[in-house]
Amino acid sequence: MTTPRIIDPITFEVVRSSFDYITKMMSQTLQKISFSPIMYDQVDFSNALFDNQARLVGQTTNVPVHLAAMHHCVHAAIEKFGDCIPEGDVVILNDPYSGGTHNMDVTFVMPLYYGGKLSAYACSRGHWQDLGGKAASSESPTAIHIAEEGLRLPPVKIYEGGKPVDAIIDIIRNNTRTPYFIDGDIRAHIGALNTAKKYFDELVDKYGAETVQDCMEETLNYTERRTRNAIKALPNGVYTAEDYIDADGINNEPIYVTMKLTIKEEDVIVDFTGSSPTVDGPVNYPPAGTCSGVYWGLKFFLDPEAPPNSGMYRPIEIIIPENTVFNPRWPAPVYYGNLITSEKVADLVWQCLEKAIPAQIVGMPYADCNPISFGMVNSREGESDTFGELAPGGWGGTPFGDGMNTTYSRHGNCMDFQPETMELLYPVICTEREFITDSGGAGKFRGGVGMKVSWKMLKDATLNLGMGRTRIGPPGVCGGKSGKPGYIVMDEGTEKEKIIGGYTKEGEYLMTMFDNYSMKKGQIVTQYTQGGGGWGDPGERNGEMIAEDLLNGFVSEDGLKRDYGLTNTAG
Amino acid sequence: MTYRVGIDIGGTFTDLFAYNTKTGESICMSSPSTPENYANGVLNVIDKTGIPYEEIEIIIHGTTVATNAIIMGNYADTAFVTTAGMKDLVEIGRFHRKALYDPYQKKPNPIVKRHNRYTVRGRLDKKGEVLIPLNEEDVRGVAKEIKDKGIKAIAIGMMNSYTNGDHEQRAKKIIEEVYPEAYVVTSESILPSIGALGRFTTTIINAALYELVGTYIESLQNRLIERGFNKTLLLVQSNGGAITAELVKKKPETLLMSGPAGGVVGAIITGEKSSQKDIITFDMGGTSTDISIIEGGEPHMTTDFEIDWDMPVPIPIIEVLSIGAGGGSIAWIDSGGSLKVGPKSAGARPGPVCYGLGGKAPTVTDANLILGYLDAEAFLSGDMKLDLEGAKKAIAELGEQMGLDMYQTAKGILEIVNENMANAVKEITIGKGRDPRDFALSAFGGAGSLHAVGVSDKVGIPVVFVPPEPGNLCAYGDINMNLQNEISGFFYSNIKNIDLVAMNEKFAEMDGEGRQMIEAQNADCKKIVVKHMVSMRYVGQSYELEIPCPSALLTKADTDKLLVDFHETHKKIYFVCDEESDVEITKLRSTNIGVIMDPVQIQSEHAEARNVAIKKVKAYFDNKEMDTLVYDRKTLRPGEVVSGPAIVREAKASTVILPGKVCIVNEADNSLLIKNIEGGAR
Repeated sequence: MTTPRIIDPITFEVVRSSFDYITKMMSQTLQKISFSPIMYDQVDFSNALFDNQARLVGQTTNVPVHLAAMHHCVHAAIEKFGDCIPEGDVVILNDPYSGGTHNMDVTFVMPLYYGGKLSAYACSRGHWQDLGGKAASSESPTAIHIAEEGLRLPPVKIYEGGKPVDAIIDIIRNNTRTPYFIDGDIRAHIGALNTAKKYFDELVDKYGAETVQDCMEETLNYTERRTRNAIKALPNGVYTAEDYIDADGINNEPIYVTMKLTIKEEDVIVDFTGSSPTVDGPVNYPPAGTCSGVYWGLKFFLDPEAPPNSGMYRPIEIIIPENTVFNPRWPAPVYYGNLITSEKVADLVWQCLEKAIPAQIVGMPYADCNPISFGMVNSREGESDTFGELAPGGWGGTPFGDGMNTTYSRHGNCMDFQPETMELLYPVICTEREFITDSGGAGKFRGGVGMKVSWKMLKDATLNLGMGRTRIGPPGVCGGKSGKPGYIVMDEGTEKEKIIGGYTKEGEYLMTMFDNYSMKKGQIVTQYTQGGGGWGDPGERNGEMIAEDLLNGFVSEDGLKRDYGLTNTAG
Repeated sequence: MTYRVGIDIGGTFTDLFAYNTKTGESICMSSPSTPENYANGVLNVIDKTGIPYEEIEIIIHGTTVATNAIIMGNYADTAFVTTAGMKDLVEIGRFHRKALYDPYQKKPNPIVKRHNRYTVRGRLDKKGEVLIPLNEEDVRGVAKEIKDKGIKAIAIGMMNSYTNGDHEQRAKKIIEEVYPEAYVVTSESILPSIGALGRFTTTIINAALYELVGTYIESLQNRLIERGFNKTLLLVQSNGGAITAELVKKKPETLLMSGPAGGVVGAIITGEKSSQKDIITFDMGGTSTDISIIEGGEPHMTTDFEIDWDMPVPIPIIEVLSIGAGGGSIAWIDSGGSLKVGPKSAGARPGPVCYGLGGKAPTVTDANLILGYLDAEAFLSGDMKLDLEGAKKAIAELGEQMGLDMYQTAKGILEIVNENMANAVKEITIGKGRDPRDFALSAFGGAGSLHAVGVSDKVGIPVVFVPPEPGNLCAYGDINMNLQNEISGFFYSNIKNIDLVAMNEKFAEMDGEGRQMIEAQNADCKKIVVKHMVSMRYVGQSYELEIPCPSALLTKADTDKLLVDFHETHKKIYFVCDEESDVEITKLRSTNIGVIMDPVQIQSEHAEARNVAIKKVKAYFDNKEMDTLVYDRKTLRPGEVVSGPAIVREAKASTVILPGKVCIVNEADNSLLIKNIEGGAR
């Protein structure tokens, strides 16, 4: 850690807040002009600013899962091209084995020069709709090789001297089910990078290159200080947790994961030793992502307001043995690592913290983002379409109140694909969006409820699903009960009704990771999302809250008896 | 009939601006707001002026009644009837959460509780064709249940009703048959546009506010009549136009941003007197600052408004960016040792330390006092003595934690609060492709003119103007409003093969609807002005840009111009455009303005003395103490010039003129225009 010249605290605060402002403006551009619904409607992207040594100094806060991963991307670009990428060049990459997390997160890196000198990097990452591979939306939970997960771009120049490199763009366009999104999405990322360039230049014009560099250095120290202060407030100790990933999509067996979290004064050591080896299916998670999971999992309890930058990484040491599910090698498939395994990392962190700070911890939220996607295939007519949804479940109960109902999980903060827009654009009817009674884990403060969400296909389609927490529901804490696991049903309410993932009526567990499930025109599929885990002894729940739950159908009479050991005397 | 009266209800004060049409004299008055019944405050402030009620020809009134009711959860029990399967769409919202990393966060309570949401079978597709017929038995059953509960406000919202309102209208008819006492409103009538969440939420708000707003208006009307007023009462809408008391009862959602709209209109009209058509409005009060943009004399409109987290109300309103920075904002040091200001505010009670009402936390007002910008003896015309020593102590203690002395700390507090406000100004100028150097900043509200020059310097705004009576500008804006409505229409076409006849017909149909709405209000309009806007985007995009039409009746040349303007605007805002890409039109908007009267001018009173400083004080500028002259605004005559450093005081505001700046009193209306000294180095 170099010690910068002394900056007065006022200038520092002013320049530091500009780093956040610049990335906020980048995100505004990306969202407003992109073509992929998953970017403009569901907001699955992040934008960041790095100093000239490729250290993260500012990031927009849409998607925590990108917290450390963006950092690895910039490093991968520099490793390939050296730290003298010329002005006007832009590098694109998505390779999970070279700084990426999963193929669908496409990252653009552009150096920012001021007065001919490399001063910073701007970085824009978005989840694209489709990059080929075995299944629509490139979501294949049955992949056994990363080649099945779509086009894998190593760090490569997509702009040179301010001009697009058509050869690369042509290759990308040829390797997607949605070529019509490509030009608009590239334009949106370039717009975001240009936005960063414009505001960064203005900042340096105003405060001078040296002051801005000093403030970049100091902003890392500043976040480090705040993070260390927060760690100091936790009790020293060694805390362990164990959990299971439901299955890997290939083998219907739970996958053991474990963490040892050590708090020592103002440092944290997180050790994944003992977790399962790399598995056959795509729930492996490259280390860039695993580290992100640790950082954002901790951030909920370590000064959430501190500006997100690489100063936060400094007091946190992470040990991930090679060839485990948290540190795979090529060619292991990885797509759902970024979702299911990422959330599992945070669950492990939180379950360790339950032992350290029981009065502050909250129940586990529903799981990953429950991605479901549909492919509309009509190759004879030269049409192909793919779209999906990320239906959330409930959050865990907290020491202060019930968990949020049906709200996007920790690793991201995506929005819905609005039903009327989905119907306008795709051959589908959105038939249901309702809370599930009794799905929240019981507790003094119960978990939030999940939802039931259904789609009716107006054309033949294929269905892909990658849900976690369908075998074991989201655990409660401090005596709270688990939330209800998720499941998925075809043709509900008809004679052909069939559970196709999760526990069947007979109690058999079917994996909720599959792809290319055939749906015929007119069929309806219904996803039941998970409830959050409860907090505290259900017996201590107050009577008014119970009455309100019954009135609004969040808890049924049966549920009250089963989960709370009570009968409704009022009604 | 002699007086026109504008009244603005704020959080602390109810402000009045009255204009005597015979003498041209104007009256400003304020009286405390009365949250227990806001109408009391309105009558109090009129009583205070002594204007006879029978002499008032029009009252135009901005009110926060609607907004407060929603925020405080203070509205009638409301039921919602929607498509089977979609009971929880309005509560689920758009999935996302407000704070990224807060494990304890909660979402706001839904306006309609789950047990008051009902579903009925029946479904339309995206073209409005019937997939499942409306189940009338379901509707009857639901109507009976709601009737049994005694809920009188009922909103109906069904999927895809923006393309076909038949199911909603039929359901309304059935419910009204079963339950004639109920107020039933359909989403297709309130906001016929795509996006169920926004359409339903707006409809629910309409139903929830119907009784409350109706009762408020009727009671106010009755009490005004009792006192002898028997002319027109208008209400201020969020779009910067007025609406009659009769009509607003059916459209209470248009009042949600009624408060800030008056200030924006006030800034437009005072701006014209100083030849400013491109204005950033800067309304800084005790807890927050409202910022908006005026271009070419027109306020910037948006449909991105949310009344609370995930509760969109996508009707066209004046875009106002509100940030938690005001005179009462508290300065504090975070766990990393950095100085922060706000968003927490000391409010009016206990208020800043210097109020001496028990406030312990140092605030922006305390910093202004220490630096000599406020006068402990002359605050609010001397009605309130300020505790300078208390403020000094609090700020010195804060500074010790950072190793800064008291003056550095006070300066730092202003630096940071100004930076926060400057970032907000940048967000709606630079962030939307506008160059702040093309704008003047209009400063009003209690603290606006204290900070305006500092904020403008940070952003590069060349001119600040402080209109007369900056504390009453919202009420002044209210008095100058015309009737206005916005009609939006769905129109979807690639611009290449646009059907001009169909588009002009659609506009004509929308204009007709808007005109009818104005004429039906019987408010003696002199003329009706119509403006057209078109929403455009690249094919494949989801968000549109709204581009103004060059003329009312569109020709091929006009659509070519629209296309050029679209590419240019896109480049300006997003730093990219692509003239090769296809562009489509998605929506049309017609604004109809019923012009009631010519704008009135503010006449300021003047004492005989002229341009004589009332006081010389020590104030801090550029890290040193400087002799600073203080002027009474009443003694400043048109055309006079005051050089910084200087302070101009008036009853409800103080204007700080930094060194290197000059303040000119505008000939036309006595606005203070502040700019750099010609040839000055600053």
